[in-house]
Amino acid sequence: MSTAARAPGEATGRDVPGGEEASASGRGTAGPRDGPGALSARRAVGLVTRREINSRMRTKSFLLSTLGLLLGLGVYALVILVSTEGPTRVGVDRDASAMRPVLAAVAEGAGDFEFVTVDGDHTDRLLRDGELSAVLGRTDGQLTLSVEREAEENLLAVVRAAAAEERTTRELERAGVDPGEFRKRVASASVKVDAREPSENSAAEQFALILSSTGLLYFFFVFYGILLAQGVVEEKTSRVVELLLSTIRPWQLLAGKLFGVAVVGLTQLVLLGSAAVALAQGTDAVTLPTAASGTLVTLGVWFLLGFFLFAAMLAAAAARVSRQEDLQGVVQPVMLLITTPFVLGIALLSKNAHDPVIEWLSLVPPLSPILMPARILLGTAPAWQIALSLVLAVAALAGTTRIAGRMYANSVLRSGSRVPLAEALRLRQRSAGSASTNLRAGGG
Amino acid sequence: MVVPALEVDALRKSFGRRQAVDGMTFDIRAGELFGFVGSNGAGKTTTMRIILGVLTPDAGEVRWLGRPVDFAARRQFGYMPEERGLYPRMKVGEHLRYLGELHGLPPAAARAAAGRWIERLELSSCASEEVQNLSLGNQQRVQLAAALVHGPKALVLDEPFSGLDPVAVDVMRDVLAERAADRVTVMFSSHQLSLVERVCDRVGIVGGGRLIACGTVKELSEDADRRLLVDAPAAGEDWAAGLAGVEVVSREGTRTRLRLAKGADDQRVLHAALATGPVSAFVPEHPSLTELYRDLVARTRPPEEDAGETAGAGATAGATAGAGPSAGNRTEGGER
Repeated sequence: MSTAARAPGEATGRDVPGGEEASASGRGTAGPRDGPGALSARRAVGLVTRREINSRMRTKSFLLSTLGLLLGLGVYALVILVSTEGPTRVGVDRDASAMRPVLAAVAEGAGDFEFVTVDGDHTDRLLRDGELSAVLGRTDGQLTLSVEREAEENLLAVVRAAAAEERTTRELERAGVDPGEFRKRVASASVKVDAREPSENSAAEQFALILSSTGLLYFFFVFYGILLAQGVVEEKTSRVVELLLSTIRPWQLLAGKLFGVAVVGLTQLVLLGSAAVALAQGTDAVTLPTAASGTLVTLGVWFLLGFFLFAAMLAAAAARVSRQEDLQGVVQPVMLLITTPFVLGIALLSKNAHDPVIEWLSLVPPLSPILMPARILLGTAPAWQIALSLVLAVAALAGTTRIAGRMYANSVLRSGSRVPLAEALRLRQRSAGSASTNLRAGGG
Repeated sequence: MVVPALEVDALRKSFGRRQAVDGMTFDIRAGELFGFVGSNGAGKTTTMRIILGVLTPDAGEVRWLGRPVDFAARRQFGYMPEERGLYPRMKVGEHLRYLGELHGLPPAAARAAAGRWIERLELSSCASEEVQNLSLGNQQRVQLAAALVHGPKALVLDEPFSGLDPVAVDVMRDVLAERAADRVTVMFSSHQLSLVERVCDRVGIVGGGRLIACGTVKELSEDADRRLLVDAPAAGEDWAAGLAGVEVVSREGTRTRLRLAKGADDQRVLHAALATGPVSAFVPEHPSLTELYRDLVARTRPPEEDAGETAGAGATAGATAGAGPSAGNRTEGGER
């Protein structure tokens, strides 16, 4: 009974293991006594990821580059808004005022025109001031379109069509045909266009879409890929990698770095992407085939796939060198893999979005992360192709990360001169007495 | 019998045709401070990097508590690389917490340990500075804290004292002694031999990629040539000349320092001194580690090849205490 009563007081004193540990670890100068516990792979990767995110997001350069890109987008939007002024104003002289109803009817759907009746005496001044883009007059039965420098093509087409229409009506009346009846009959013989894959965008819009989507992705692959590669070299230069790899595995470090940089890149991409989509919809400059959120998801998914694919290769290449100055040389071949689909995409897609070469190329992994999103945004990629390209990309990713991980692990602790490619790729046979003896190593 | 905590067994490592480590063997007990000295390129750094798994040996083995060192064992080590290894743009406190957590400490414990070592190593004023903005001495303290933050069972420190001011040297020395008192196995390399002599329990002298001598300073000095201090006021300049195996090291006024080769008879020296007149002092002296080191390196250096810093292990290496397998006829030098 008495022991039970004393229990609370004694428990802490008697609880030797726990109590001692706690007090020892709290002791002034002594280091933590409770030795390092086991570290799960997930936690290791998570810790590295968190450090990458923190150290990158908190930098001024991240803030500045985001702001700079947003600013660039804003300026672009402003240019679009300014360049799309109101309707084209066309003056119609009193002599030609009879043409107005016909002109208005023809101009319907051909463009944004406004027809105003003007007095012949002021036309020159109005044209010079830019109040009017053109003035339509009639001298001796001949229609004349007076302009300052040259006639706008659309307007010319409208005026010609209107003139022809007017002439036709007059000739029909002279021949005793009812123009209304005639028109109805002609209209009934129209040709119906059956577009198999209707394009929802004009050529200019398509080009803008291709350029912005592939351009944005290209920019992010290069920018964040290089950022990661520099990070790998930085760890090698500062030798901090030697500290890190005494407690975590190379693949954990590499994975953490990849995830961390991907999160940072994705954040910036989504920020910019939403701004761009909002802009596209706000200014009506470009028609997006899918909903805005769908566009962002497409960009995001392909960014991640492409980023991991390219960045894993870049990191593996970067691990071969110990100094930032040497980085350029080893990442060049990988950069070629990113640049080629971009150039190809711009060149072929803008010529013909349905180019069969593009269709096939956009399925294959090193090219798909740049080409496929552009095709999806253009609305020219059927579902099965999207699915196939995703499957292939994921498969390639699995293979690439395995090889990249091996290259990274083989090279990252070898400081000094560049690690030869053959050695970086070597299967891990690093046990004592193996091949490493006679290989020329730069270490020291 | 004391079981060694860390055993280095017949390590070999070559870089191309250069044999950096060639049969390195020694062991360290728990709670022991082990000094690792040797000329540049003798193989100290390579050995430490092999212990930490940064390099893979061509042959040989490192054992921790009797078992080959594996990844789990290395996580209990604290390492300070020769070229300092920290993220230059990370803040000190953050960096230490990160390394603590990477070694498996829970976040709260990592924070506490980081704080404790920042305070202990007198870094409080720069805890929120980026590492790159610190002075070299302070960066080195941070580097030590980085090796200590996870409470390692063994410390492997490459040149921890180089470039430190005297106060920092004292702090570093105290911390290492404390750790050793806490049963941590501490091994460090240094060129400051007087410091090594004061701090270390045992010293390993490296030459040509292998240990050419190992033991306490006392053990080493017993094995080395004896020193004598003789004060004979009436003696002439060359009173000691002609004594077999006796070499005059220096003369200051009436005092003469002598070095006696093995087998030389100190009683004959005394007689010779008395023959000159009164002898007011006749004292055997313990050589300092610096002197021992010079003797050893001079002795083990092949006579025909004494230029440069190459410390080839000569044929006499086998005679020294605690040395590794008897020496071959290597003439090739060690690591850079």
